[in-house]
Amino acid sequence: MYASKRAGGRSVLITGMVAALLGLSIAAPLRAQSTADVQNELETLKKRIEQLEEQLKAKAAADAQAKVDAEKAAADAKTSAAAAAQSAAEAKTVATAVPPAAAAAAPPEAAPAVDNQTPYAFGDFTWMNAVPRNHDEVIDSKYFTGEFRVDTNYIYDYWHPIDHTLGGTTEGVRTGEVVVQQVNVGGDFHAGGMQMRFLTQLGAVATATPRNDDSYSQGQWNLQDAYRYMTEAYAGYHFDVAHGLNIQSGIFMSYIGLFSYYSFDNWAYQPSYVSSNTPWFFTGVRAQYFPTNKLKIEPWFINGWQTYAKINGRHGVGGQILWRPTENLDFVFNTYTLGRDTLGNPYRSRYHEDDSMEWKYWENKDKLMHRMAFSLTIDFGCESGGGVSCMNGNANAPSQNFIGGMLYHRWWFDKDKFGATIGGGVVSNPGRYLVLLPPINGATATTGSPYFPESPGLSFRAYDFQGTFDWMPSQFVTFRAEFTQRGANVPYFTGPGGITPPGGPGSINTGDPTQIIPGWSPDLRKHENRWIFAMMVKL
Amino acid sequence: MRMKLAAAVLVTAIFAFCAESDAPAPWKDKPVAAWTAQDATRLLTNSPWCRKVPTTLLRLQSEDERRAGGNMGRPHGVGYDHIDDSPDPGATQLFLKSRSKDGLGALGTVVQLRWETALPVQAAEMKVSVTEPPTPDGDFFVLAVYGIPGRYFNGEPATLGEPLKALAALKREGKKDIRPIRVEVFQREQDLVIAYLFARSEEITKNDKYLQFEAQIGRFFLQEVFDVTEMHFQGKLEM
Repeated sequence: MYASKRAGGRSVLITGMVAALLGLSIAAPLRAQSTADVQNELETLKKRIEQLEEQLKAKAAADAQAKVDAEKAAADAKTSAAAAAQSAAEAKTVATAVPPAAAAAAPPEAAPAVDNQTPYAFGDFTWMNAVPRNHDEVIDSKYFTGEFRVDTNYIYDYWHPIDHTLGGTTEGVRTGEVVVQQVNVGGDFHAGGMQMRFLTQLGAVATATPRNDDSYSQGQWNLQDAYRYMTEAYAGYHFDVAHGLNIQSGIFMSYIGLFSYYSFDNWAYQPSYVSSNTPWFFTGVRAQYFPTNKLKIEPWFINGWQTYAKINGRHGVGGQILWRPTENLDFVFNTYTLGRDTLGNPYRSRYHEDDSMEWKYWENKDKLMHRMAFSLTIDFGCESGGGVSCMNGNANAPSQNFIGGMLYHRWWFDKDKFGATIGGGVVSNPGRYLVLLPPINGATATTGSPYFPESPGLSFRAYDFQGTFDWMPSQFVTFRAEFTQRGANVPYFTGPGGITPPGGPGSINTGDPTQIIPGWSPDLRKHENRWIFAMMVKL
Repeated sequence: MRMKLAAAVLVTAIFAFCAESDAPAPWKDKPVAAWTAQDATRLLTNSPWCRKVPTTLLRLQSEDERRAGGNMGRPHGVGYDHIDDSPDPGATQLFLKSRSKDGLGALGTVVQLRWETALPVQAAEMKVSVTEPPTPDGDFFVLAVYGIPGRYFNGEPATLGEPLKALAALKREGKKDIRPIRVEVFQREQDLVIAYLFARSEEITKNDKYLQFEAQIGRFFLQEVFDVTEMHFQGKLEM
């Protein structure tokens, strides 16, 4: 009895049409009539159809709501004709009455046809900063969805540093060279409720990012070596609670600072300081709870502020609230507290708040320039204890805090083939505890550098801005040209003389980076101008 | 030839629509015993209890979007598996991208809604010897959706329908939504019948005027408004 009612093919369609005709009570007398009579009858019926159509139009003019219903009824009639064809195959005749109520009723407004169960499925958020724009994956199966990224750049620095070294950022390491900035291979593994994500961290970032983490210097088993080639490595379980609950553990992306760690996802290549100087990753445990399809609450229990390990005696805790009330609006609130993240100072605690909003405020898909949106991020935080205070500091406990913001605006052209962004930001970070240490003579977060001390009471104020143009011939690739200017109140950026001591035929790290090298000092400048040319692929 | 055929179908549709607009509704004017097979089929196809409803195929999220929403991997189950949303199934596939080789066309799917527990519907089904889907015993209203594409769903009907429970509702103006207490999925040869069971303890009266059924079945979204004032048979509200 569950046999299909579908019947395809032209013959069935004709049969259905004929059956529908035969099925009509008013058509029955036609069978016995001559061809001429049938023609006459058809003519009469056509006129009748025209009359009825006129009546429908008149009715629509009289009552707008009735018009809506009448159109619906006509659609019903049309679909019923297809049903007639189906039923004809089963020797059943389908009549196509329009319920009288359908024409006269004023039904409630239809709800938008969207998925209101799956979190954030009610809209397309691929326009957002820090969200990849892809709609397809090249490898997608029941248990594995692949992901491959390649990010290469060529940075033209107007200072032309002799050692080709860029400092103060993780989105670029060398200048005047083609650099393989980042290669990520991996993807999502999923089976039942099990979730796992693994992505490699190959390329320049395998050096540039871990060197900002000094946590491995606490104790044995060099976690910097162990983890440096993994961007994301976590697993967890998905529970069907409310709109979803995940418990995950491992190394996962930090959302602090809005911009994605992967440049392909971003509106600009060089993020401003509140992004570049805040964590890219966390190591720990997180829960992701979706009480509604528009809201995520995600608490973290982590080893520290962008650390592989725990530096002192206390974990960091924090979390994210992500709210997308509409397809055009996104709010994200990130909080970090309690972590004691200063190597060698077990009593200094860190607090940070990072809040962003993104708003797609205009879109018209028929225009050449068809979309405009902006993102705004505000960060503030501080450290207290261990010789510093959050605010109102003094000589014994200087103020050590962070405040900054960034604003980016983007335009899209020609059906997403081109994009343009302008933006920038400012930051003030007395105590320099979030300033990325320039790699002077190979200095890292662990070693520090006598040439750029990061001590309580030392000021750091900076600004930057970017102008970006993207060519996006497909959803999988972006060619980017960007001009960026950065400036600071203290010498911070690599100048023509470089930040690497001379040695041998070129320049090379010499001795201990914690020590002054007699007769040499790094060439640090208060500003820099750069062009960044990048090709980014995400499959 | 195709043009002629299309024109013929269109004329037939308009012809049938206009003709039947004038025809009296058998459930109003005829006793059940006098119903013909055509009357019964008409009731089961387009009547206050039975409607053909076009569905909207919801966009499939990318993996990045899914992960942002706490999920990984494509969703599976009724309304997701064995469907093909490509407008041109012969188009070049992306490298190694899995696509159901036996995917059923999903774009433009039109489903049939039927209040299975309504007396006139049961009478009409008897008239034309329709016995699907099995109507469960109990104090339920049953609204069935016929025609969702799907294959190989041979599990327990109630188990298959469990994920759909939270995704359907009967909506009334000024009153709380009525959610199904059970959903059962039955496999036919090429498609599925999904039966939504609503408790009769949820009182629906003529004063409700309209009853809007809204459901998401995997990637299919459908909604239809039923006029409660028209759903009377022999002087009694039938659902």
